[in-house]
Amino acid sequence: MNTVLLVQSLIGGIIMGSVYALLGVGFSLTWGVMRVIHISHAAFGLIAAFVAYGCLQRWGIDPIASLVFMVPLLFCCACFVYRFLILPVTKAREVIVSSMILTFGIAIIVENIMLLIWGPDPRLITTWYTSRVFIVGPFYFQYAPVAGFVMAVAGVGVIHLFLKKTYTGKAVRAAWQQSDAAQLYGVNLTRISMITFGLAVGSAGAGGVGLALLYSFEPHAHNLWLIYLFLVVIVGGVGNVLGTAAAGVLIGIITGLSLAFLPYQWVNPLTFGLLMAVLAVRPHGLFRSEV
Amino acid sequence: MRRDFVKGVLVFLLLVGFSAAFCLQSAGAQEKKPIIIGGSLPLTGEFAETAKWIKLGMEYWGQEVNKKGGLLGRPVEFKIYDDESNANKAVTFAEKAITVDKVDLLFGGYPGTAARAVMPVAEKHKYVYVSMGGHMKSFEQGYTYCFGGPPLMGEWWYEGFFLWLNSLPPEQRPKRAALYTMNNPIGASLMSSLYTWLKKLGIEIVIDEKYNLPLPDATPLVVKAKQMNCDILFSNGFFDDGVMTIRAAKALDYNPKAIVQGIGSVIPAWIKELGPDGDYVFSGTSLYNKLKYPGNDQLNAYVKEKFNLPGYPVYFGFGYCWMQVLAQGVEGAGGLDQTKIRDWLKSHEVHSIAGPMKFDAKGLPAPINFCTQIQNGKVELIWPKDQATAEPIYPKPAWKK
Amino acid sequence: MLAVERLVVKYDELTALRGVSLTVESGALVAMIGSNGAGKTTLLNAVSGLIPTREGTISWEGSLITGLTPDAVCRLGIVQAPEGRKLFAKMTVEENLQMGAYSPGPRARVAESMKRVLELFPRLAERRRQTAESLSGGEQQMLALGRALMATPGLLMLDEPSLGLAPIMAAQIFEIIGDLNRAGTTILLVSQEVLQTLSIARDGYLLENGEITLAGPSERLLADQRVKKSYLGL
Repeated sequence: MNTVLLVQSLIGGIIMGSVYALLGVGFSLTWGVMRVIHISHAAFGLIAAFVAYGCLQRWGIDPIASLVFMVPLLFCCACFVYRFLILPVTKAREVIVSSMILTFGIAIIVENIMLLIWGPDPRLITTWYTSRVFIVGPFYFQYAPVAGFVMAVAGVGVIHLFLKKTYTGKAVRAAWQQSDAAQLYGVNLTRISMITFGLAVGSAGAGGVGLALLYSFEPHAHNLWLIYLFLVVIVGGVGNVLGTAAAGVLIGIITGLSLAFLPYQWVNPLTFGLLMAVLAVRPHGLFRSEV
Repeated sequence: MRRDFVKGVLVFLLLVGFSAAFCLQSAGAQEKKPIIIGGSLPLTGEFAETAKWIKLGMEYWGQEVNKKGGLLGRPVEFKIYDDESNANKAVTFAEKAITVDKVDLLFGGYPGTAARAVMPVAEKHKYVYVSMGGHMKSFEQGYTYCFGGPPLMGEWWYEGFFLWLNSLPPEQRPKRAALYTMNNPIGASLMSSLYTWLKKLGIEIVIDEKYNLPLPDATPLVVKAKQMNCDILFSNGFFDDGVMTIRAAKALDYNPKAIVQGIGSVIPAWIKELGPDGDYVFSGTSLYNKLKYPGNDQLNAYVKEKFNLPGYPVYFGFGYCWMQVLAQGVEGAGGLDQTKIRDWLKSHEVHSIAGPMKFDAKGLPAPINFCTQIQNGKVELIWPKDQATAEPIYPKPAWKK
Repeated sequence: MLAVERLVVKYDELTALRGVSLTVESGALVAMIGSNGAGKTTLLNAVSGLIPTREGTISWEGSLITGLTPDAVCRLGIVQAPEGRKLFAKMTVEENLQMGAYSPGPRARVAESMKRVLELFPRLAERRRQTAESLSGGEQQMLALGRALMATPGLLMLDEPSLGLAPIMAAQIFEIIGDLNRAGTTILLVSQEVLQTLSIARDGYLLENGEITLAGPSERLLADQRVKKSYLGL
């Protein structure tokens, strides 16, 4: 067996899966907690990627460092979007459907704004550590993807701790599990939803930058990212943060294994075949929904 | 009383309407009726960026023609629909342009999928259609009104590269090839020439893999090629997967003698985004701004002034060139009769920025085979010799870390 | 003091409450009895701000609270332990209790309240780290009560606290409610367990078809023929 190829493929796959998971947790939360399938989630992540690219080009700010102001910025932006666009829709009878239609519209608008500002050219982030590697035995670890991976672990970890350890995070979970009771004990549903949405979009920013460390991107890229979001979130269980992370890693492992052992054109059918199998066997995802 | 009033108003309005129409008509008659050139481009969606340049190229052609007194003495005007990067919509708009708008001429479409779908429509309505075509198959359907002027032919893409490789002494040629190809019609169209040439040149195909887009990770591809000691890498893909492959090759310090990149390296972003890492990559083209045929300098001067680009983007050239060919047909035929235009094009040599072309029964010129290599962030022509702007750099120097 | 005046609540065109008036004095334990669908839960939810009112007023300690959002009502100290417990099923016992003290006032005293509640319900202390859904029915009801107490209520509104419990368990819960009231908590208790409810309450209201049909001291309600016949099965 070709160990080097296998390990190298697995590393790549797991890194990819984790970064998609980072982009996916927020999507999972808005879906699970607010019943909003936020189609423009990945588009906001893409904005972050473009801004990070711009900051790097113009001021030499590291893309990861730029998250320091990008995440709060996206948070505020999202609160605004929530208050004026999403909130009215959550009062509709069919929240899921109407929110999908609404956020699909937002995605198109955001995409066109990106086209206007940055044009349709593909971008590629090049930092001092791009293509640099550290070598462990026969294995190569590329700095940029590893940085993306570390970011993903940190990001998912922070969101997990937020939900488990802080009062606001607990209120988010409570609001999802029992919205009436949560309100009866002082949780302002609108405020909590706004915070959830803001955090989700903020984390999308981190995910977007993470993906930009791995892949090239252009204003349409979010459509592709969105497909992977659905994949990790559905496999991981809607609303389940650690499940999303596990699903990301799992999909990464499957991708890695198939890249190592199977003809390459089987990889995507296999991955999405897995999605269908999961939906057929466990419609609520592989992991128990537990926010 | 009231009815009379209404009647009066109606008559008055009718009169005003008539006179307005009359005025308009007489005003229009003073100028020559423009020649309307219609069709669709993917102005939005996936292919928007490319279509933007095609449109600019066509419009630049129109501007130049109108400056010189027009085509057949009449001004030209474009009526461009946005097919949103959807081939089905491109077909609908082609039908609409021909049957509803009754356009005088049809312009060439993009991309190959759309052009291939529009070709039978043009044929059905007997409209001359000068475009990139789909690939070889679409020119083998017996269409007589369709021309590739020049086409963008996957089957010819590496022709120039192989001709150059063929000119090397055998001992200097690579021995083992890794072929990674995107699993779509464009990728597939590259294969036949690869197989034929590699066999002819005695290069062993060690890896021949297809991948679906999006490519999740290029590392395994490079690991494999490196392990198998492949000294030439054919990365037959678009931009996204192409840059990933290059980056992985650099990270894993994989240094084949040559890297040949399909379509990805053609767009300007390749050089802009990859920087020095994008250097030394070979590719092919059927049109390029450093060609020495007349007209190229003029186009380059225009884009330099207008967009501050060192040379015209290749699709700008395509848009321009397709119109150039069509216009020569119109002038040669001396009118807008589509069949006469077709017959003229089939029987005469046209001169374009892509060089002289003589179309065969399929509507294709002789295989066009320019080979390019990126050197110092510039695309240089290296084959054929008479068009070469630089000597090829081979074998590829090691990655700069 | 809670004062409800001529309250009207409608679900679409269905009238659930037709001009209900009642008062709960500070320190009192007031019972609200009535059959299923009489509008008891609707009344509590209207007070809590979960459902909108059509007419009438609700006031608390002299100020109008009609139209406030549930979280605002909660911050005033009006706390409801809703029907069916409505626990945060996938959160632990401890987290459920913490959520009870979510409002800023109670949150400042969360450690103190937690200690008190866990002393009151030692069973909950044993099961602190378990999820709420894994508890038995009686334990869940204790948790629901405990969660409400965490909010340090000025008025505690309990909706069917004994529903679905074994008789012994139910008796225990009523005992605890009585103790809480004696310790100073103002309580509005809604229940179909007429006898037990009225035996611990000082005053009571009978709600029938969205209207108060009888009000007064518990003894009077217990002595009433209608109550005897319809609710006590005598």
